[in-house]
Amino acid sequence: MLEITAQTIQRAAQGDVAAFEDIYRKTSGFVYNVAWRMARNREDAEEIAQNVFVSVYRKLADFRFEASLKTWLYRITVNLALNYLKKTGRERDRTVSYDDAVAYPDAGIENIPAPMQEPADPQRVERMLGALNPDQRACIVLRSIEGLSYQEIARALNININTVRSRIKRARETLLALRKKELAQEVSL
Amino acid sequence: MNCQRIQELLLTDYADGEASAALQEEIRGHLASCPACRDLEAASRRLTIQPFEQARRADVPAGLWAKIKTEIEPQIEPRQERSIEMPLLEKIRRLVVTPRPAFAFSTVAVLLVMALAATQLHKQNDIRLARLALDDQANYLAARNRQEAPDSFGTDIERYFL
Repeated sequence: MLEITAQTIQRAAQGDVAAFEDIYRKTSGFVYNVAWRMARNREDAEEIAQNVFVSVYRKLADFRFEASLKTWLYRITVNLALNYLKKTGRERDRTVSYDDAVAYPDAGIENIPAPMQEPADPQRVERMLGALNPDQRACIVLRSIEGLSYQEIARALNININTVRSRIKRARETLLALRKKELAQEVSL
Repeated sequence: MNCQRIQELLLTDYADGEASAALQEEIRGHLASCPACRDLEAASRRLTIQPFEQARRADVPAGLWAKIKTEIEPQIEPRQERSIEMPLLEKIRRLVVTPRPAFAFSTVAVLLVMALAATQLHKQNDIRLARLALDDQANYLAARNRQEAPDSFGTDIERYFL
């Protein structure tokens, strides 16, 4: 994210649209991508990102500079994405259920074949994220895609750092179990 | 440290660079001697981390800002109206209440010119009246010398009645 000055934030908070557009230009990339990874489709991501910026515009006057704007934006984006998924019932329509994935409690890594390289599959990331519950997904998106530290994720999601650690561990166990299941299906075909 | 604890760290702090240098060193030492944990580390990296690192990023839709702007515009206008109204009222108030040096100076100058002009007109009027009085006196004296009625003006109507 490019640098956003406190002066720009203050001007935007006073209703300066040009200043707010400056903030939008510098932050919309990660806001939209987090929304996309959380919702897993572009249309929903666009609607979530729109809600995020409208909400930010309304709340900018309340922004306290103790937290970074980026952390604040991550928090609003994840919260609105979670609310959106809940409201629209999108989670119920997922093609891959994380309940199915965790039905393989033994991550059993010793039984996973180790190919030299995983086959290229553009839908794979989407499938993997779909196998996680929304809380785990938020942690994986912020850590593995956005590159936030555990401490930054804890601040963004307003949770304890050990909760972040626990969710990431469970998420990766689920992903290993999912891959094991996929490979088992491929072998049986 | 046992395998269970090492495997927890392999899926979290070690994989994400959150472990201290000392802890990393300890884990590397364990991996060197434990094939099961080494396999887990390799599989976790390949299956749960690399796919996300290689994931493409989406471009923000071109029309998104326009939609946002449309939605926030009803909120912008009242703020602008307020910002326009207040200075206008303030300007009017200041114009009425606060004396402006230029206006004050010009007002005083106009009043001085008017007073001077009035004085000059008054003086000229006095001079004219004085001249008329002198003329009347001169006419009266001349009439007396000619033994004429002092108030005769020599008109037809005077001759008729008198």
